[in-house]
Amino acid sequence: MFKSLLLLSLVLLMTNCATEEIGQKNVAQSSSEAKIWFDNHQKDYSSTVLNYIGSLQWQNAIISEGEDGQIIEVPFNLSSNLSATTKEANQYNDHHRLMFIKDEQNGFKLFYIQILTNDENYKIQDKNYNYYNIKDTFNGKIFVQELATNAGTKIEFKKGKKLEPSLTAKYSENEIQCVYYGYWYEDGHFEPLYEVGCYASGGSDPQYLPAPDYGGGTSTNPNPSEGCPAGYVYKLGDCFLDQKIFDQLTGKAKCIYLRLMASSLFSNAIKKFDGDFSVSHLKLTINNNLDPYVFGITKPPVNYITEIQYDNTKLGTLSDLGSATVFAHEIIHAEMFRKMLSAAQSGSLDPATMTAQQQTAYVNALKDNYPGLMDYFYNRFHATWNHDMMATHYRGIIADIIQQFDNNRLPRSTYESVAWFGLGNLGDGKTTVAWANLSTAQKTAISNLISQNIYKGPSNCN
Amino acid sequence: MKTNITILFFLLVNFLSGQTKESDYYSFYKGGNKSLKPIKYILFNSKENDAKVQREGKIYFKIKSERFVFDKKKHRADTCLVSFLNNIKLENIAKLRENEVLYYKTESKKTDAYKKSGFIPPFPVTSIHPYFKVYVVEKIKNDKLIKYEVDWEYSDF
Repeated sequence: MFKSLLLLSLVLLMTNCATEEIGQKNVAQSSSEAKIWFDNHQKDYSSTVLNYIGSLQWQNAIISEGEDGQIIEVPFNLSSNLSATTKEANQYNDHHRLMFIKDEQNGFKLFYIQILTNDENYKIQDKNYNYYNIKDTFNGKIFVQELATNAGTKIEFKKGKKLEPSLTAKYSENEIQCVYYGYWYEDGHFEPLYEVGCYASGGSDPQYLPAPDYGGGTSTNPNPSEGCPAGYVYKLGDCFLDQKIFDQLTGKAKCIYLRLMASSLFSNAIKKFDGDFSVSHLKLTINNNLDPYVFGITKPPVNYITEIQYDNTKLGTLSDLGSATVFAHEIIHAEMFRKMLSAAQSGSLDPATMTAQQQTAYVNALKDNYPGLMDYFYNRFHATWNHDMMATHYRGIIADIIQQFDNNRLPRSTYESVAWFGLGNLGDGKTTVAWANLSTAQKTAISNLISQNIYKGPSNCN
Repeated sequence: MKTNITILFFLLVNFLSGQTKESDYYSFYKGGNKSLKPIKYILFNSKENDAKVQREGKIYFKIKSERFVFDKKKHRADTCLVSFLNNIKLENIAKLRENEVLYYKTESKKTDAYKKSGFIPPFPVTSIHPYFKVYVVEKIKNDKLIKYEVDWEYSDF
């Protein structure tokens, strides 16, 4: 009996503890080897990325094994709080790694990995991403660049599955995407400062053997949509309506919407509601009974849906430019709600349905992710917070959208004035702070330009 | 005996009409204490461009920049003598939102969460303003008025 117990104890000791120790030693050994090699060879490379590495997180190195041998990936942040996205600024949450693959001749082959998500709110967990596997329902792009040649490739993922590029698309110019380092601003625009590289699916240079594949292509996740009712999909741990934009527009509103969707700025704003992991859906409807002088209204979100109602009768009294301004104004209201929903991780913005802990998480998420919103909506909350924020920080975006919609027909200053529509007088003697700060002469000039262009001017949508 | 029945009937009617319902209360957070909404009376005056529209069993009041809706399925409308105005305070509609924010800022500091950690709940962004119980008062004759129980709707555009 005693002998049996002793034997069992020995077996347990040998099997449980030893494996973990060996594993840790291997990780430390491998990353240490790569680190020494990198310190000695860094000067041999001239890639842009090497000038912008904040600090390499060797202690968080991700090591995976497979048919290409052992792969070491070392995460890092960019220096000076820089971020990366594509030229179109439609990729988010940039994650960066240096990847080391053993090479008989030179020690290691060195690659630069950039992981970017399609959805602004999707959080990447580093441990779920490695050379051999994406253990995640990831929607986005991974750019792989070999630093010896700077040749690279773009790999797209949808729900964790690799999308294979078509043969015709492989080397098409339209398929090439360039990545830039720069800064995101609170109003959602990205200022590109440095080009990092341009990548196509299947390799940026057809003459060059494409960089290695990444992510294996097979997700080990079980299908997470199971368990949701019909018409719903699984996202962020919950079941969501499997529809993103409910377009129920007709008449003039529909015509303006379609024309706006042909312009990149507006369609990019709309696409934020269309992401597979967006927590907010957009419903565009017609309500010809809106109050006097109300052309459109954005309803507070209910059950993850933000509804924008447009009054076709009243839009009929506006020029196309005026109607487009109404659309841009309302979509920015919806965008604010979308950000708030993502912070609240809830289908509505009613704190009475949240526990005190959930409210604290909501406010903390606002603080961490949307400091501007936090400032207007929470820190300095007052009754006209949303129009105040829009008047101060989003007029430029509205002007950009309507200028693009109007094909630059008018001077930039006119679009900037027209963007004030709905952001000056708020009724009952109230105005936005930004409007109140204008001189009387400025207010008069802007009001004149609004009445000359909002109510008059080309009207091809009827 | 007859007098007693009359008194009993009077008390019953008074008791029933004074009953509060779920929507008369608000809470700052799920599971938090429920508080009775303060009552606010708003005067509807068609001579001052206030608008009243009836549609699908509801009456919509647009008073200055605010919008109220009376839904006969869930709200009450009472006819009163004009002298009722002597017993109530009419709100300045232009200040209604500011007063709501002031009320929220004051009352939210009375919650347990605030007392424990100084945390103020975020303001609700909902279809109906949550903190006040609103009545729209409309004069219908020289000596009568209708008091409509209403929802104060979100109307930022």
